[in-house]
Amino acid sequence: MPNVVTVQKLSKSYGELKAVDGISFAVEKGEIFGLVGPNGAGKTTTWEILEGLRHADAGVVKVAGFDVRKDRAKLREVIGVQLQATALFEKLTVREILDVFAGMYRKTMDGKKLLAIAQLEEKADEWTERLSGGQKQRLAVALSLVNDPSVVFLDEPTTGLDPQARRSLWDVISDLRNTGKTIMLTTHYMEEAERLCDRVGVMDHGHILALDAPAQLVRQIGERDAIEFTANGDAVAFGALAGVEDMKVEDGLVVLYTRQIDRTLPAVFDLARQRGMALDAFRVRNPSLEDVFLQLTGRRVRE
Amino acid sequence: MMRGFPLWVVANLKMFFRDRTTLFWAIVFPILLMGLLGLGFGRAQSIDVRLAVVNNDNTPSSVALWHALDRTSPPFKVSNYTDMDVAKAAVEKGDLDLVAVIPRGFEDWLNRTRTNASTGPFSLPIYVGVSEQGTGAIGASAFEQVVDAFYRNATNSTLKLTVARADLNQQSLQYIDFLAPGIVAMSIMQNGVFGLSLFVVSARERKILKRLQATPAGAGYILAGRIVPAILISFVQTAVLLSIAIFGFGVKITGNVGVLVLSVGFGSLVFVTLGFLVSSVSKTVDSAESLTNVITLPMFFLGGVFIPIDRLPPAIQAVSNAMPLTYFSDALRNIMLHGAGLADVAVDVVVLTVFAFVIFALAVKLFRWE
Repeated sequence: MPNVVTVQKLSKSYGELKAVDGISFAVEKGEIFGLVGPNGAGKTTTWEILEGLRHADAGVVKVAGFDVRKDRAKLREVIGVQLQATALFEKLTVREILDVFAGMYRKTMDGKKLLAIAQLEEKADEWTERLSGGQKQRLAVALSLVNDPSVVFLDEPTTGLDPQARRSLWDVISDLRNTGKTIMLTTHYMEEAERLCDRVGVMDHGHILALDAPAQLVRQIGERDAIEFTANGDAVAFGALAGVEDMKVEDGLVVLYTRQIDRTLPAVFDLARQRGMALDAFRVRNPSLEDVFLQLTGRRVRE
Repeated sequence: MMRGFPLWVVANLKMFFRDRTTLFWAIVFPILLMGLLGLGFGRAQSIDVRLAVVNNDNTPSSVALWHALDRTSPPFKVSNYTDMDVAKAAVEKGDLDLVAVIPRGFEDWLNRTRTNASTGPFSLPIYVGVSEQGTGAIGASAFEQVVDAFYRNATNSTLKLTVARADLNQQSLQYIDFLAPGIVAMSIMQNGVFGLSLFVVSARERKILKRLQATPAGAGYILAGRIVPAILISFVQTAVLLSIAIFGFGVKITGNVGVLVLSVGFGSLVFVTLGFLVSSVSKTVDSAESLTNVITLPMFFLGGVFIPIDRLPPAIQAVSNAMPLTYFSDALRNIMLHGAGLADVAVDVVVLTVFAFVIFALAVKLFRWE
């Protein structure tokens, strides 16, 4: 598969702050490619440079065959953009907004099809101010498709949505996979990245720390289980328990990684009882992208 | 791409008519203002009789007569004119109620009649504006009494000084006639400046502008799609407000509709570009709103909407003359009340065009998407 997006040594600073610090990656046609990381990791800046909305300080970026610095006008015809936290014209209906945006492009996608994709057929004639948060975000995604683009950029499309609205937007995005479009997605929800993305770049402080398929990334940190809890007391001793390979403590939340769950688990309880500590928010889980991020940065991705 | 432009224009028109707040300020508020002031002051009888004296004699006696007129009651508001045609035109326009001429030789004749009883009579021509109000006629009879008294005082003899009265057709202009074109101009200013500045700044604040930037449309397309509706709305404002002035307050409109439409278009353009400039220099909706108020409020009061510029102190007049609204309200007033043609309002239109160009160039230079 040919690369639709190539990024080489991209850097962007705001004053002293290096928002994006020499990142490189390539995305194949038809992939759903994600960047995960906390707020301020540099995801949005990266996307905005790729969309031609922001100038890079250094690096070469090609999207859909166009140099984003030189061919902005042509680039805009073939990409779709959903910006993080953009509002819409409140006093226009869903259909009117789709028409207005479609009118700005040479190539367009059928309005009915867009309404179907965004599951907004019944809301087509509602003013957008009457839409729910999830419906607004689905409309924003539909707007990114009005020109039938080959590359679609979605910047934290599900941030701020309740779980149900988030799931319905995931369905919308998954369905796009079948259209052959390349989807570029940022999120700080690890579950979202695992569920939707073919490949994920883990981003923090302007760097991409790891880049692979989600399952592959998880495998790299080993076939270990994670035991997670908060303890009202000094947690250091938990790190020395039987079978514990690694321990992370972040904001009072203790995470123990073990390959011998049957040995470690009783030891945790024994220790807690000996020391008279109460354990809270206790769970045992399979490792996830969340753990990958924790391993790579020593921190959790905060919402 | 141009295929979509009409859609964008129509969408902006829809947004205007769907937003009660903008609708109130653009149309309802000016109607209320005109109604209030129109009912309050509209057809009130003016107390002053505005008299112009063309003093061709320029002697102590003619000046004495002038002073006698100035002191009389009902109060003459006396002004000096040197050109009689200008004074007569002012009567016809309704700016004056009557013109009196003191012919050359007035003092000579006065001296002769004192010594020589057989000196023939002397005639003072007056030109009286005839209108519904009858202010000119009241002025004419008052004038005759003043002249009579003046002659008796000066000569102690039977009256030989006569008044030769000629009538001029006077447009009967009252405050509401003055006010209506001003209100039209003012409402177009308000809608133009507020409409564009608040739209652009709020769209920028909410990142809608950035989202539009990501389309191939470009700033020109986006802004023109907002400017064209603003101009169309200014025609709607004009039509609604003038209808109310005509049918509600009996304002008589003369003048060419084509010239009116053209002037409204140009004026609207100036204020829309002014709104664009405000949006280019404002970071938040609040600061845009404040700046818009700072710009429009002085024009509201000093732009010739409520008070004629020539009644303002000279220092304030200088300020007024730097305001685009002054030229706009002047142009509309001349067209609507005095039937001015394109040539008559050419100066106003040129000044407005210059304003629009300068403001637009500045606004484009300072424009930011985010």
